[in-house]
Amino acid sequence: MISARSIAEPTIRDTVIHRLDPRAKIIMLIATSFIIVALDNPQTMLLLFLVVLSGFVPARMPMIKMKTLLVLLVLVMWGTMYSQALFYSQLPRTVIFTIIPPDAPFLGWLTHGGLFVYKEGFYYGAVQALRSATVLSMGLLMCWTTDPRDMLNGLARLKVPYSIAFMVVTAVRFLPIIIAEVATVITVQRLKGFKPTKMGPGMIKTALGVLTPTLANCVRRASVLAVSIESRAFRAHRTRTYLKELQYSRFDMILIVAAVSLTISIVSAKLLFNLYTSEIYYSSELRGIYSLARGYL
Amino acid sequence: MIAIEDLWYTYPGRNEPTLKGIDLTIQKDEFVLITGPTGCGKSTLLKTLNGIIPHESAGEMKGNVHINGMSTRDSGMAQLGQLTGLVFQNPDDQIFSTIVEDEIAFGPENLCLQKSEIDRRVRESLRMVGMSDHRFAQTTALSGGQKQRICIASMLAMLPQVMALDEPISQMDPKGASEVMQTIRDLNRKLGLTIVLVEHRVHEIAHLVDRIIVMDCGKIVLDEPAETAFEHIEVFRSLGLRVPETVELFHKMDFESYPLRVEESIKILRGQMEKQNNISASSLTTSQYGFYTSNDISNDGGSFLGECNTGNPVISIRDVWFGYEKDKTVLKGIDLDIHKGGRVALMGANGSGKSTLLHHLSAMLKPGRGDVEVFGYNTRSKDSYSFASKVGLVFQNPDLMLFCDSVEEEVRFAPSNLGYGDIGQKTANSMRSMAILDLQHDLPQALSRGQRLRVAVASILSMQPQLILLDEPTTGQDKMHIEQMMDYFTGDGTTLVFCTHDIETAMRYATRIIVMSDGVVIADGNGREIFSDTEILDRTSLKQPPVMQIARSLGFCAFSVDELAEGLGKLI
Repeated sequence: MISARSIAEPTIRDTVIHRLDPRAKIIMLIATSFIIVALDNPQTMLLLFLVVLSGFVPARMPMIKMKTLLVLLVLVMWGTMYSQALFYSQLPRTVIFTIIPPDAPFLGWLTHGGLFVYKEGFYYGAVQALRSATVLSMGLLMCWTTDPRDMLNGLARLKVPYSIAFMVVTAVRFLPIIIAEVATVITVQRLKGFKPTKMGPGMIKTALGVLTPTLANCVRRASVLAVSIESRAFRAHRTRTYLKELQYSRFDMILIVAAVSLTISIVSAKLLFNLYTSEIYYSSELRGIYSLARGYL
Repeated sequence: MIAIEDLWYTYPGRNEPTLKGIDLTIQKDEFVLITGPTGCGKSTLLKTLNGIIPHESAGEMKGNVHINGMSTRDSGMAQLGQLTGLVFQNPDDQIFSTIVEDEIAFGPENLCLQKSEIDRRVRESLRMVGMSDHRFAQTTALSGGQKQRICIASMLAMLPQVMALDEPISQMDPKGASEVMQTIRDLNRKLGLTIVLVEHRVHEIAHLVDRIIVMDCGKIVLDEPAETAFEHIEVFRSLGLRVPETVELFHKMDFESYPLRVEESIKILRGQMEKQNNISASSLTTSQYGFYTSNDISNDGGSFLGECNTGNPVISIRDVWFGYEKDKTVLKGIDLDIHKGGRVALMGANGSGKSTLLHHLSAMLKPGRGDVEVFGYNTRSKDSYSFASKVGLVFQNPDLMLFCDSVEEEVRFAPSNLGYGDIGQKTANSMRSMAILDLQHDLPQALSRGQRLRVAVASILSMQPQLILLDEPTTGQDKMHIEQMMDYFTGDGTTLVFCTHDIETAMRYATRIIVMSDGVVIADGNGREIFSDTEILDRTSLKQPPVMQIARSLGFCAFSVDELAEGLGKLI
């Protein structure tokens, strides 16, 4: 029960990453997302991924969080690569090995000519996996090093409507509790002689059995919380004031400027390069940019 | 301050109104306790005070509620929220911030106050609840009592004129409950805040309030000042409500007035003793007047306890260490044997490790170090499924145990899975024993908290386990249902281990009490031994029941109202 909370709740420490302004972290997450989508070069993507991962070192995250990160990354990367390797449909493609031969009775017919693992699919999957893994790592680094109140303040100061920011942060905060409750319900079912993990119709019974108490508890908790915050004038006015002021440090400003500049530069360069390759727009003065985009982006 | 006129309220989907013609006036500065059996409508009445009913409820409301002259029907929730602060039973459901300061500042920030004013209100609210040192503390690091005081402070920051509290101490240990109640009392006396409190634990708080209102079936059946309310003791008894031990004692001894405080009771009794015997009460000796002493009184369980502590243990715990996190150890070297047929109460402050120990007994948790053997099986090599049919565990939150569409299905679930015969009979017997037979077709999740707990207990009784584990079985229950449940366990001979803060229940029903503090067993014995040892009580959140305090103060030893009344009867 506590483990779920240890994993999901932030570890508050006094490190250079923790001290960053939450707005700077949110902006960097957005910038990273744009850059990783714009990039096609696997080496540069890998470099960006490693840069993001290196952020966990100064953040001094506990072992349980690092293990969780590792498990999530393995799952996301392997899942993406393997699914792409199986279902890669573009040509040319090279078969690495065969899972279902085309002449296999019934299954061959069912899979429209067999099921194969393609080399190009793996490669394409690896690129997609790097995208997902980079955003996942950056998101976790942000969540694990930012107190929810700072996150809420940060979102509100970035002009996200307060009620939406509040709901997002509160939902994230209660998530580990809900996970712990699901585990409790499954244990209760076991203690009542029911094997929740048994395959077959039992799985549906388990799912319904877990859903009922967990949802009922969520609704009860939500209604109490709703009344509690309504009693404290939540959304009574269109705006609100704040006790804690957020202030950018010089380092925050440098990071924000760097992240925003880099994003604009990379996205613009890729855009110009794509216009050139699509034969829509070409300028000889931009040859340096085309070369950079072709070689590194 | 509060004027309620002919108030009727019916929840959506129900034919029977929950409130039936309530007429009530509460003056400014009053401290009012509303009590009654589960499902009598007291929490519903509380919800009408800050506009949840009718604004946030789809039910039908008739009649009027005015707070400080303002009609709740015609005013908005935000407006009413500033007039009436509402605090609920479970602080964890109300606190959403990770830092105390943020939780308190949330309301004033929503009111668009200046930063300096928000800061002032945060400071003042924390001071009023005695939590100034915790302004920057993590909310998750606070104890139950501290969290509830934070909830109160967050409402105080809105500067309400009325504070409505719905069972704010029901899940707390005696020390936490006492802290919270003292805080509420101070707010009432020093700030002149009108307090409306709904609570089952009448016996613990009656001495703090000005007025007691008893409800039953949606109506007010008693409305009296606290000093005279217990002259109608038959009302409390007929509804299964607890009365203070001092009242029980003086009623048994045929006194005409019923003091609510221990000190007052001692003064009256001492005066009576001196008057009747023409001697100083302090010069009386125990042997002279045939009082019990701690040495010559056997435990309630008496020889039964002896029987229960012999033979092969049902549970054997050897040097068990456990922590949810690496650097936070919850259990520290627990060594225990629990024998067949014993009724063992685990007591101690919130966070002392009681529930964690209980969860080890069902293999839900495995020890980090050491071994737990249940029925001879080491829990390390077994999962919870292996103990189904032998061990029945009821959680503190029964909601997580109810996943079927009707009460009957819920109770039938376990014996059906285990392939028992005569399931119908077992189901009916279990429902009957928990007094829920009339609810068999109802949706379990739609019942009141007390009823949900009884359904959860019945759902494990139907598999006839040899070991029953209950985590806080008295929370939110009235006296009648507590007695009904515990009487059942007393009679059926199964081994029972239960966590509780309820001293009265532990004293009455447990054959053995284990007191835990900070993950360690600090006392293990029968109720009389444990509660006679003031040194142990000082180290935990426990305190002596009033009757023992009175007896001790008069220089005697008695453990129940009957014993003290019998002994004093010879003197007065």
